[in-house]
Amino acid sequence: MKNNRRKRRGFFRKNKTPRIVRPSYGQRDPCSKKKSSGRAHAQLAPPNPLPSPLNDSSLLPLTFSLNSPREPLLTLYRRICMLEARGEFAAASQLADAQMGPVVDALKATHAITDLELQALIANEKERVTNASVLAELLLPSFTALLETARLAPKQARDSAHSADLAVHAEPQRHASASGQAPAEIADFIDEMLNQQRPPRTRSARAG
Amino acid sequence: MPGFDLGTNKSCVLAGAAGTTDITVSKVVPSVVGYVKDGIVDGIITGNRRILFGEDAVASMLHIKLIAPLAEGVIAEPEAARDFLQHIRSLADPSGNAEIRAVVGIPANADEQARDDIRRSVQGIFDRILRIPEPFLAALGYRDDARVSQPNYIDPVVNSLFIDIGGDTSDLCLVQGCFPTPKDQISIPFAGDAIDQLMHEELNRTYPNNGLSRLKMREIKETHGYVGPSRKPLDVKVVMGGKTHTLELGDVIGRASNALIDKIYPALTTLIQRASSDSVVDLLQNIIVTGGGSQLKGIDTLLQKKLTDDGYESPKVRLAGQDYKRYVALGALKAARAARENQWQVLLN
Repeated sequence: MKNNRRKRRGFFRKNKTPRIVRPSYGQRDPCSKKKSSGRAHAQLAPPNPLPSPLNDSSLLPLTFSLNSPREPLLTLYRRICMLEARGEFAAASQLADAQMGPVVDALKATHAITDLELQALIANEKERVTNASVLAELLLPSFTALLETARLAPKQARDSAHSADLAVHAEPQRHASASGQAPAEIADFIDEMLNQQRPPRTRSARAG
Repeated sequence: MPGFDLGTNKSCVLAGAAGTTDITVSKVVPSVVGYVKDGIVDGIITGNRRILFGEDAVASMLHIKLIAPLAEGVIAEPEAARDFLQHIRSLADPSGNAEIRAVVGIPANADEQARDDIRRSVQGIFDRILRIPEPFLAALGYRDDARVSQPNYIDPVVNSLFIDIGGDTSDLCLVQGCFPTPKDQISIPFAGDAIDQLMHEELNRTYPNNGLSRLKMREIKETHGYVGPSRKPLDVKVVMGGKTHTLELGDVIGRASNALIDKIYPALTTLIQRASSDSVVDLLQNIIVTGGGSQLKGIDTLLQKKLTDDGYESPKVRLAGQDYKRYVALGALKAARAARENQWQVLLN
């Protein structure tokens, strides 16, 4: 988990341009009378509910409809988070400075959303982005291995004929795929055939 | 630039100019050579030719010595094979002046000797050759190049199992995105000719002294052949001793043809077991029967039912269709057009 050591700033600057608050786990919600876990739990809710003033940030009725008025804000926030995750802090800051204000203003104007509600929205979205990042990091080694296998598959099929093990044909990589795969090159198949036909000594000499 | 399928009973040649997709020559030729017997009167043989090929040879069989240059898919009579291949070359290039590079389909189980025999037979006839196993060429020929990029199209070269039932051998081959290794191929020395033989033997038991030849058996099989439950009565008119007789041959044909299934099915399940678990479900949807044996009525249904009864997941067995004779040659032509310069074998005189 990325350790964010950036100085926490209030959500809104003096000129009302909103900044991004990043509550870490265990942060106490200033509006809550008891210590909050810092976790926001999303629940499906009727359309356009306005969250009540928060006493417990663990309960946060939200809608996740694509047509939700909050979606532009959440989408923007996700983009900012992705930029920061990639180390593009300057771009993230630029995006926040340029677009966050107008988006928040528009939301407030049309739906009378309060600052606390906005904070809760952002906090919840932050947790979602964090969870997605963790999952991606966990799956990254598997994806990398799969992609590497796919990339090396034609080369491995050719190299199998150059193996120093003269007694056994290496199992060729199979490109079996249901549909949509690029047509295999006929000349490559012929190469594989010719490699299979070469005497083992020739193959090992080529490998050496 | 021709691609051709050198079959024991029938050969197919497709040819077209390099760098194009046109097919200017498309012929299926019975794999027979006829040498005119001595003493035949002039004019009996059209053009007074001394050597005949294919249909011409069969039509004049009374006056010629008929020789099959191939047996079990490989060269059996070298001299006849050279004459036959020279004839094939003349079909592809009537002028005789062009450089001819040919891709030749060879049986899946062809050993080094068989491959060398083919090379020697084409020396001086073709300028360069490539010898490629027939089941793979069948997959290549069967592939619809226009549909390869479509999302729902299962490219037979990427994931399929081909069953090529020829005259001498039945070849099964897994084709899964890479060139098949020997482990991916099974060749069974039981095919169309073996069915003819069984029919002949059984007919001789049932109707002794019938006088019907193996060639006649083949004709009966090609017209009435079926697999699966017995289809009786199956009445076939034949001429014996100059008189027309109607023979009930349902069981004769059925028993002989079903013997093929008894040989093919275990090989089919063996290859399915060898496919990777990630690919096998799609593979089961892409089992294709080609070759002359694909014309046996009910063969696709029977194989599919046997797989389903044995618990395989939604198998689908298809027939290659009426163009089955061309697929190996078509695959050979595609290979000829795609082969790189350094892949061709140069034939030195």
